[in-house]
Amino acid sequence: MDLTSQNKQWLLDKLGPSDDLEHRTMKSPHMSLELLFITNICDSVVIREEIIQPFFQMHNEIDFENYLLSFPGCDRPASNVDSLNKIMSGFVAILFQDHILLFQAAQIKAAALSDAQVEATIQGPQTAFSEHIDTNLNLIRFRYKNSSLRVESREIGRLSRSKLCLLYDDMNVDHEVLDQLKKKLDHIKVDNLQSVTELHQLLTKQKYTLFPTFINTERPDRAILNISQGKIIIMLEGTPFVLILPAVFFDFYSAMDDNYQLSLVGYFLQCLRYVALFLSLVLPAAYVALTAYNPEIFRVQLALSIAGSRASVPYPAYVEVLLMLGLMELLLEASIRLPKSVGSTATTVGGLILGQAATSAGLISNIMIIIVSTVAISNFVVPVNSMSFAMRIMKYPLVLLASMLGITGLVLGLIGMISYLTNLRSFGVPYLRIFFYRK
Amino acid sequence: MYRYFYYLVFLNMLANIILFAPRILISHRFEGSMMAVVLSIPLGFTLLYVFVTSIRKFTGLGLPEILKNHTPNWFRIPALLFFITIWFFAGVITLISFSEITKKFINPDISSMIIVLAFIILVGFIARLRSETVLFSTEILIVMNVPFIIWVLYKAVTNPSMNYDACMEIATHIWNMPTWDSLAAGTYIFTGYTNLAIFNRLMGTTKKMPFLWTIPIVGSCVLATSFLIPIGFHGTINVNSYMYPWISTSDSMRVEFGLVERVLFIFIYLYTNISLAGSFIHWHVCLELIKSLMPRKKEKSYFSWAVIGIMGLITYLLSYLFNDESLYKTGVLFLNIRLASEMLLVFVVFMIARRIKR
Repeated sequence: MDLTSQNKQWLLDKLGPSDDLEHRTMKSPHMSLELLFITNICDSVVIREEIIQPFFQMHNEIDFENYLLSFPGCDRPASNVDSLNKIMSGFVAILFQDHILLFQAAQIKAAALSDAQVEATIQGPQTAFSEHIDTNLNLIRFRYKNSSLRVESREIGRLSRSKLCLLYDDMNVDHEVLDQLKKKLDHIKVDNLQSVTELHQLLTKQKYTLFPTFINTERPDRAILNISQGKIIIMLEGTPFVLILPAVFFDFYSAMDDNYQLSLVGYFLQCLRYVALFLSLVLPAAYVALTAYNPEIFRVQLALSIAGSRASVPYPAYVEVLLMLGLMELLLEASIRLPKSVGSTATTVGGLILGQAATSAGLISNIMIIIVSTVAISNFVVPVNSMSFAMRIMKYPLVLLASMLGITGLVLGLIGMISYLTNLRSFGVPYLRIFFYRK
Repeated sequence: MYRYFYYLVFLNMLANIILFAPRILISHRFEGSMMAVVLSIPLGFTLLYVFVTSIRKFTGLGLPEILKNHTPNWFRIPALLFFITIWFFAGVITLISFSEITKKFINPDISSMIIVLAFIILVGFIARLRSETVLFSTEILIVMNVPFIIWVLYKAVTNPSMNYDACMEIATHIWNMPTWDSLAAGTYIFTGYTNLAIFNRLMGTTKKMPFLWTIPIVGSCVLATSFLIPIGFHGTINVNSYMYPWISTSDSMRVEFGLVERVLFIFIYLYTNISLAGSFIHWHVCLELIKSLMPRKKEKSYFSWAVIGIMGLITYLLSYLFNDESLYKTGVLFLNIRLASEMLLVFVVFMIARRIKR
């Protein structure tokens, strides 16, 4: 009883009866051997041209084996488990009389590059990462040709066995952060891992988090900029997003456009974003506080026009605000989920019917419509999506405080938020800190 | 890191407006306040200078560690207990008086108990965070508010209602001898440095603080403005009839083309930030001092919550007892004791620093 038939039987047992498992024997006048692979993830052209055709031209087994071994990505398995894993990820097992060879013939269908969808820029590189990790690594290597760039890969997820790569510049990276990260990655126990945001949750200790402490991006240029600043990139097989850490608050408010535009334009854009942040956080709460508690703060003309606009509204200001904000959230959520072909319906229905009809019915004041649309627009000025979601939620506690304590509540809420943010750490780096200097 | 030292000092300079200092100075304006202002600049700065140069000799150590290493227990524990009460009351008085102001000028229809409670919860929440975090928050609050405060001051100085003759009239009383009250109120603006008792742990390794000379200059400007501007606005006699002279002064100004016409509101929001920052710093120092008294076994998170809870409860109960007049009297008393205890603190640290040099 030789080794291979045992191994072969083990592999066949493990791979089980499955329709896409291909197990065939090839016989030529000189030799015979068996192929074992999964058809759906292997490239049949590669198998035909690089294994089957040469097989019939070779005269003995040793020549053929040497020929195969000269291909990159072809080697002898370390163990049975290793060969099983590799077969599962697109290798062809070539069973000789007394040993096995594994030949890389994987075919990935998601390798095509597309333009960035979530984080678009006007000028500057347009391509986004793809869902295939080798393509992504290629994109990075292609743009960052420094020899100190390191790539470390590992597997994560008990069932999904996703490939995970750490990329960093060995010269710039903070090795303390790197060690900490590796230790945390070793301790992660999870069945499936589909997106880097899941990984974000696994890496942070707190159970309930709102503010993202790592950047989540699909842009290779942002990844490269951050690598050169000494940060670590985490790439995951099967998702076009990568995770950048450690990140500070201000990173979430810088778009790649800031670097690509002329300097003054860049500063202007940045200021605009902080103004938007302020507006989207403060406006709803300020409306509640200023109409319900402290109308005397505004100059008289303004206070009167707000009061006049609210004259027909039958309920208190906080109900009005919560109603409109709730409808706005529904509208936003609907327009994300809707298929593209009916997407414009949501905006038309929402904009026209809600905006126009609600005011003319006297349910909502005109000023409220202005505030809601300002909030909605300025919320999406934030370049990194996960932050805009966080800020979308943050305005509700402020509305609550403002409806309890008026404008004082709003100020208290803002102070509380600032101190909460300053208390956060992203891998030991203070999250919010003014005059933040990178090394 | 040394810029955080200046934030601490500067924050206190700004917060003095809330903590009765202008009112004390004004009430003694014919009896030596001017002299007190002039005297308190060298006095306050000397204390500051001696304290800072002494404590900087202990890199990375706070007051509790210094006392532990160099003094016997019978001295250390009463001294720390004393300073804990001082720091605690610094926070309490700012909190209660500011919640009174909020109640009077912004939210007359909300119960003052709720306002005090909201302030206590927020300040308590921040005070128990890490020292680093407290400093970062302070920095952000200062950087965001100071430009507007300077703008308000500019509006005050250039205001047509500002009567410089009244200021000159007060200035002629310079030769009257100062009272302890007014001296204590005057030196209060420099007091921010005492927070180094804890924050010295984070101040890095630079032995000498650069730019110390700017403090007396800025300090004298702050002192002069916070004392003289209300007098210029309200006149030498009437100014004494205001409970919070600076709030009333800011209410005398208006922004003609602004969204908010009355400067009062802008001023109060700016000072909500400043005074809350001041009180959470004081409470943080207090909490750290209390922590240092505990036998160090294991840091338990519920311990600091418990301490903060007790501090909050005491403050809440105290806020029942005070009315405006008794709060003012307590404020005066506090400032007086504070000056003496500050001298004691400086003296202790100075003596220890001298002893290790030999």
